[in-house]
Amino acid sequence: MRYFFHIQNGNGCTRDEEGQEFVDLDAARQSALTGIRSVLGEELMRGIVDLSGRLDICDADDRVLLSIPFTEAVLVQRTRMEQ
Amino acid sequence: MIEKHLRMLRVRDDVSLEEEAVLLALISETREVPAKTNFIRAGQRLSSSTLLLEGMMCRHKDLREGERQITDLHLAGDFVDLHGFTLKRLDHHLMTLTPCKVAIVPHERLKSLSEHHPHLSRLYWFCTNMDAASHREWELSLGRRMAIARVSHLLCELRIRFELVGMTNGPAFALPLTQVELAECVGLTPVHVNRIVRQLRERGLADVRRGHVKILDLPGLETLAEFDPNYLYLEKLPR
Repeated sequence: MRYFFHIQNGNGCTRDEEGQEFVDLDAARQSALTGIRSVLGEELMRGIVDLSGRLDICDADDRVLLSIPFTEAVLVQRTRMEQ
Repeated sequence: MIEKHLRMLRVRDDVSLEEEAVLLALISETREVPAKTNFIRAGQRLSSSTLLLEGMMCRHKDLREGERQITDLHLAGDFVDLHGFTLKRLDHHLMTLTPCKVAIVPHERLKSLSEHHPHLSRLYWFCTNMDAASHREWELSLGRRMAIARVSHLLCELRIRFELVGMTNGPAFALPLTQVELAECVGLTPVHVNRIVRQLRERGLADVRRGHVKILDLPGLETLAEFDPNYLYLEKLPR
C-alpha cells in the first residue's frame, strides 16, 4: 500500500505528493521515524533542534492513519541516567 | 542512433566522420530494457559493455538491510560500463530507472578499437577518467555538503549533463526519479529530501516535482551548492 508522509512543524507543512510503498503501517512507521531522525540530525549539526513538529502518515485519500510527534522519534536525556 | 553519445564526446574533443562510423560499428545489437531492472549485477562475468541510447540508468551499491547508495546517474548518450571492459566484472549493480534502450558493445570490438584506433581509445580512457572525477565530486557531497547543498549540487550537475545531450527546455528538464531514488543519490532519507525540495521552492531556487525540474535561480543554486563544473571537463581538447 502507498503511504504519504506529511510533515507539520514550525516552518509550516511539507506535503508528500509522491508517497512510498510499504508492506504495512508498521513498516511505514519505521521509515517515518528514520526520516524524522535524519531531519533532526542535520538540525542538531546546526545547533537548533525543533522537536515541536509531527509527521502524519496518510493514505491516498489523505486520511491520517498515524500521527508521530517528533518527540517520539528521539529519547532526549538531560541528566545522567543511573545504571 | 548514437547522436547523444557523439554530442557528449564532441563537447570534449573532435570526433571525425570516419571515427563516428567506427564507433557506430562497435554496436552488435540494441535491446529494450524495462524500468527498475537490474541490468548488470555486481560480480557477473562481462564480455560486453553498454551504451545507453534512451532512458536513465544508475550505478548502485546496497547494504544488507537494503540501504542503497546510487553512486552515479546515467543519461542517454553515456557509456554506462565502459570500465567493465578492463574490469571484466563490476563491483556495483547497474539498474534501469526508466524504460531504456541500450546498445551492446562486445569487448572484442573494444579490444580491436584499442589496437587500431588510438585516438578513440584515448577518448574512451578519458571517459572513464571523467567517471572517476564525477565520483570524487559525489564523494565530496556525501561526505561534506549539507543536505540542501547536496540536492542543489546534483541539480546543477544534471542541468548541464542534460543540456549537453539536448534534453533541456530552457531552465527545465525531465528528471524521472522517485523521491526515494533522489534520496539514494544524495545519501538522505526521502522525508529529508522532501523537506529540502520544499526549501528550494520557497527560496526561489528550483522547483522539483513529479519528475520535472525547473531551475528558478541558477546563480543562487550554484552558489548554495558551491558548484564548479570543472569536474565535468567541458573543454574541447585533443585527448
